[in-house]
Amino acid sequence: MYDLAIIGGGPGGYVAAERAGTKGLKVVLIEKKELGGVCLNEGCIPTKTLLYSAKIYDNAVGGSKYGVESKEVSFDFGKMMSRKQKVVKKLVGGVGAKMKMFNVKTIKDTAYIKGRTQQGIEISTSEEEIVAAHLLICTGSEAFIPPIPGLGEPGDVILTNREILELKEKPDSLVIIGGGVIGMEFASFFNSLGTKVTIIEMLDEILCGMDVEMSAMLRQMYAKKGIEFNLSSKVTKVEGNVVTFEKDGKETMLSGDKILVSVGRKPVTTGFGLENLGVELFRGGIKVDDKMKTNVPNVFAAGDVTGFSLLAHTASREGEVVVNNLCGREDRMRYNAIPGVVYTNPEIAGVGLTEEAARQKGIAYKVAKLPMAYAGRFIAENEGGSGLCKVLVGAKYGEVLGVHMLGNPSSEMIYGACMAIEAELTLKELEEVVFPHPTVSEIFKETVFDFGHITSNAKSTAIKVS
Amino acid sequence: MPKSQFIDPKQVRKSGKIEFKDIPVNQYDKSIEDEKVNFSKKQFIAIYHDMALIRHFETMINLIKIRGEYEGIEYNHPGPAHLSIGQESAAVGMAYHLGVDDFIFGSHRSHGEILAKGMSAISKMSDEELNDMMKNFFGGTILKIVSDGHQGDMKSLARRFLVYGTLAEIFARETGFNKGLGGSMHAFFTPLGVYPNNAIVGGSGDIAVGAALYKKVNQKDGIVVANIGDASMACGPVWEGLAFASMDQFEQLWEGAYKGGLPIIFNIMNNQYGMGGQTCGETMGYDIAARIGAGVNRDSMHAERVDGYNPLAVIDAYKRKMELIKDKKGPILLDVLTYRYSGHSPSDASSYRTKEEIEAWENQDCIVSYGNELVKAGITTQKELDAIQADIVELMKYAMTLAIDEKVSPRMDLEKHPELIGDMIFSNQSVDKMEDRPVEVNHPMEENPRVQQIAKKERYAFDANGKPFSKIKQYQLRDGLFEAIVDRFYKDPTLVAYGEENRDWGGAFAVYRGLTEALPYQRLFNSPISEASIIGTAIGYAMCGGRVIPEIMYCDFLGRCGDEVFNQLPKWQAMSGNVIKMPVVIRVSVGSKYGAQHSQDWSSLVAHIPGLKVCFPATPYDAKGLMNTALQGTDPVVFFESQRIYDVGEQFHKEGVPEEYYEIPFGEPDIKREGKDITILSIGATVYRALEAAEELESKYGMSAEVIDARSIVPFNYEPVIESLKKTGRIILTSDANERGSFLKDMAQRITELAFDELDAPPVVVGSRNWITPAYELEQYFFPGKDWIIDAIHEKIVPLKGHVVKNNFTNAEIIRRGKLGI
Repeated sequence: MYDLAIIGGGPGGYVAAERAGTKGLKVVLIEKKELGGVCLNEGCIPTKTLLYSAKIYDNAVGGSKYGVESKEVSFDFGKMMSRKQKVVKKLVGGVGAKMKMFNVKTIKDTAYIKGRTQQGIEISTSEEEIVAAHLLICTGSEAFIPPIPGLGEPGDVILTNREILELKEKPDSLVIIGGGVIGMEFASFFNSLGTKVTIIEMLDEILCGMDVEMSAMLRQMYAKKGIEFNLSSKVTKVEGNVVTFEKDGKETMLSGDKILVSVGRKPVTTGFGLENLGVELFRGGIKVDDKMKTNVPNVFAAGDVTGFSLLAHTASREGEVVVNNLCGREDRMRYNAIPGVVYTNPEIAGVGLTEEAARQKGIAYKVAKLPMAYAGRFIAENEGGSGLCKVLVGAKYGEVLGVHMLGNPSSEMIYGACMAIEAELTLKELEEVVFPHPTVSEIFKETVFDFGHITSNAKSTAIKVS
Repeated sequence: MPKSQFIDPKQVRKSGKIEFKDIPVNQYDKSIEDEKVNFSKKQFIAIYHDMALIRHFETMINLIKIRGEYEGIEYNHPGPAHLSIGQESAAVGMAYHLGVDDFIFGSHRSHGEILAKGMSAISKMSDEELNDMMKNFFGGTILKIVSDGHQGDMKSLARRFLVYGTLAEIFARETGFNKGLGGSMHAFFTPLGVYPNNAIVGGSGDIAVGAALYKKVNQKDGIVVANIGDASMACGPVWEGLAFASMDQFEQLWEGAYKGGLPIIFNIMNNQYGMGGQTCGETMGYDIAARIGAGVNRDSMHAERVDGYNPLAVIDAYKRKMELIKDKKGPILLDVLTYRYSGHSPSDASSYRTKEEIEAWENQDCIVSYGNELVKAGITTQKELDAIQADIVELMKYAMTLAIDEKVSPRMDLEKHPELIGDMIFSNQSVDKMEDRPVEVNHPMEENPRVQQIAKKERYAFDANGKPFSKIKQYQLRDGLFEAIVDRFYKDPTLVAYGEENRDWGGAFAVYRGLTEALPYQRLFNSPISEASIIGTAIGYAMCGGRVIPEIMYCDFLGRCGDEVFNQLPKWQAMSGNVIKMPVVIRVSVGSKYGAQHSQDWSSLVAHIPGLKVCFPATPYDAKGLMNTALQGTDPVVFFESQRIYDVGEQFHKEGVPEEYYEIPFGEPDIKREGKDITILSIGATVYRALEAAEELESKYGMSAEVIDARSIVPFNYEPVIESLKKTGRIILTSDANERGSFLKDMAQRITELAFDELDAPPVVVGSRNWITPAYELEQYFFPGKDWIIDAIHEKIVPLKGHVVKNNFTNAEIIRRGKLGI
């Protein structure tokens, strides 16, 4: 009898397993593929590995701005891919080692939930018939293939995040359907390597959910680098490697060596006996409350399978909420301080409310923004580069509501803002925090002080950055 | 059930047929000339006067309703007015022989009956009696108003008093007979023997029987008349009243002075319509309402149809029927035929009858015809009659002017005294006995076998080593109830108890075992299986001044007396302006094991109704103390008992349940177990499951739970709960009532409102499921158990380390159930 069975070894499942193991619970973790889930195997980690290769290549090519001349710069696509494989393997191995260290039993097999009895929840695997007091479902998500004529299962031409990571050669041209985070990161990578990249986005801006002003700035930067953007464009048909889309009633045809479909992801709720529990679904995901409880007693869900906030770090935290409550520590999931990062070059990172979201929710806020150039270190390291930092605070108390940054290395700086929001810090308190100098992160502090420059107008300073 | 009655199969299986006595129809056949031997001129004229008084009174109100004006006096009366223009002779005839000791009960259409009965009683009272009556009513307030400028004798002053008091009541003035809280449909005046008129059709059909029971059991003079409409003859409670009133036991089992029928006349004021439904020919099948008597008892209730358009015919009938009652031959059924010209109410367009029909009756108008007859017989002159009419018009103008004068006849000042009505909801008195006279009992209390048996019992459940005594040895909850009840039977001579299988059997759950031996029939008897009459008669009994314990064998049967419990019992104290007291303690037993219609806890339904006190003790000590309080009070109490715990011993009071008398005040919850981490508030039998949960919380999770037993829910003092919350910051509430709309929800809301700052988590309610109660073997899935309480704490209040829940308290499930209504 296990205290906790976890189905799915991604960042929701394996982190929960590790935390539960640490607390002395008897845990079994069932993963049909490799530990680490989409994140480690076909998501965050492999893409960041590749993007770093691309960044080094970019720097080598553009080194002359900094007085470094490189001759005959070239890249080896195969080597990039094999290094990525090595990194993944190492990290997956690391997860396995952690599981052992914390006495988590791991089973590499497809789990099948048989049902819930007075004894507990019964799960079948080829290795063991499991009975567990509690079940945490972390089966994640998979790429969503929209019902567009001609757009079938992934193959030679049609790719998802999974297949594109297995390419042997750099394609000459790539059409990306869906300009979200996944689409933009692959666009950035292949753009660096010289692939002709075209993005077709249904909405009127890329990177839905991020700060719109920064998304537009990034799009303009990439347009300069040669990526073609088609916004407000709806793909109507795919024939071979030709994509037809409609914009303003006008049809356009595009072709690419490869077509990446990155319009979104859908929760994985079938194939493991979920139906035998009577778990309630909502918009395709498992419906949960703020303790990640489903409608079935002792059954929890965390991560992408819930269908919202599809981020590895969300999943991990959700898993921790489950474990904390099981161990008698009251804990509730909060989504107001979940950071989001786009690992393009430059990066965008944000946490909390965007201006768009605040307006939509009718929350009274004040905003301040400064160009990244206000941080000396940024000037030093980003020749000719630009960026922006934006801070939103509550109109009444000055509590931090949201922080958004465009510019490197915002992915590494945003956690400071996460802490400010989680700890409900106000402007006054932030002003008293000492930042190291010189760092790019000082832009956060500078923007905070910029509120002092705002007088009567609730809505901002308006230093225009283009 | 009594062993003295042998059901002989040879007798009851014999063939034969039932024969009915003839039921007379309109057989009065006398002229004024014939009646001269029975009535003086004054009496003939008084009959005319009283009818005219009613006619003018009703006409006045009709004009006020329709035109907003009477004789140049303008007024707007937005309230109801169900008038009886055309029915005057029926009312006056009914009342003619009735004195102040005779009680009448009526309906929403009873202005005429108030005036007729009032005038009749006044005519029979001495000036001194009248003066006392008026002087003592509400401290002489009304008397002071009407005696101002009065010239004339005491009787004419009393007439002013009657008309003004009634009118002021109709206009909701504080100077009305019921401080304006009764109004048109419920106006009454007990000092003249006018008991509550009832706005629920047929409402008086069982209450009046209780009044007759009071007269019989307490050997009081006078008869009771239940004035009910012809259309009420389809109402269940009316039939139940008839059945109760005609029980064989009055004749066959009650002894001595108590033997014989109830002194009651069911007087059907048969105006031949309900609101618009025509009873003969459309909505009923009796053809002539008097026929109903044939089905009720051997005497066909001495039923008779009387021509109510002739006052003398009705008077004649009453004279004969009152003789029968004197011979203890009640109950009587009279079908008094009449007709109302006025609509059901002023908004009635009379769409259900023809103009010709109304005119045909108007052509035979009871007052005009009677007046003509008097003139023809030389008893009076038209001039004299006109003068009477003119005098009445003056009286009406006088009463009207006074009753609408805001200074003379103000309404209750709720600005100045915002709680005036609130203070009238309960009478809150402490009264040992409702009347001071010796009690009738069969033997001294100490000779009672049950009393002797209880004397040998252990009044604390555990011995010196903490080991429980055997169940038989333990003084049980049912013993606590018995002790309080038997004690009161030996104190209060008016106390009676009845219900289904109360006598001989000793009540279905043995609370009354031993009472049969102690009490004569009239104090403890078996009622018919008719809950409406059980409660309805108890209301009537209490209204007249008695104390009563009616029993509802299973809580589920409360629906059968819904009107009595919801509309009658809780209302009359306040609706009377606190003239009436209502010392009724309804014992209600909450079942289990017997499925969907015998296992429901409806304490919440009762608690919802203002005017009822509600308690639900769970220990012998509390049961005895609360029953003592209930029986010492003057308010209606719904006393819940759980069949799960009738046999439970006293586990909390180490010194044992006191042998002597003591009271536990209503509304004070009791801490059954002290704790500091969480509060569990329980209503009724769940307290034992709450205590088990507290044990497990302590031993398995190190959580210290404080268990509070609500004991009573109306009234309820929240302070001890708030004090507990200051320690614990968390609360879970539980009872066997199904969870949706349960009183626990009300408590949870109040607690949230009063102690929001103390709460670390929302109050959580654990009730039974919103299902039917399944079979006993499945009850664990329906009623809250120990594990439900712990699961709910873990899921909704604070996670318990290592706890694995068995029951579904997830938010998603709660939302799902809400969507499905389960």
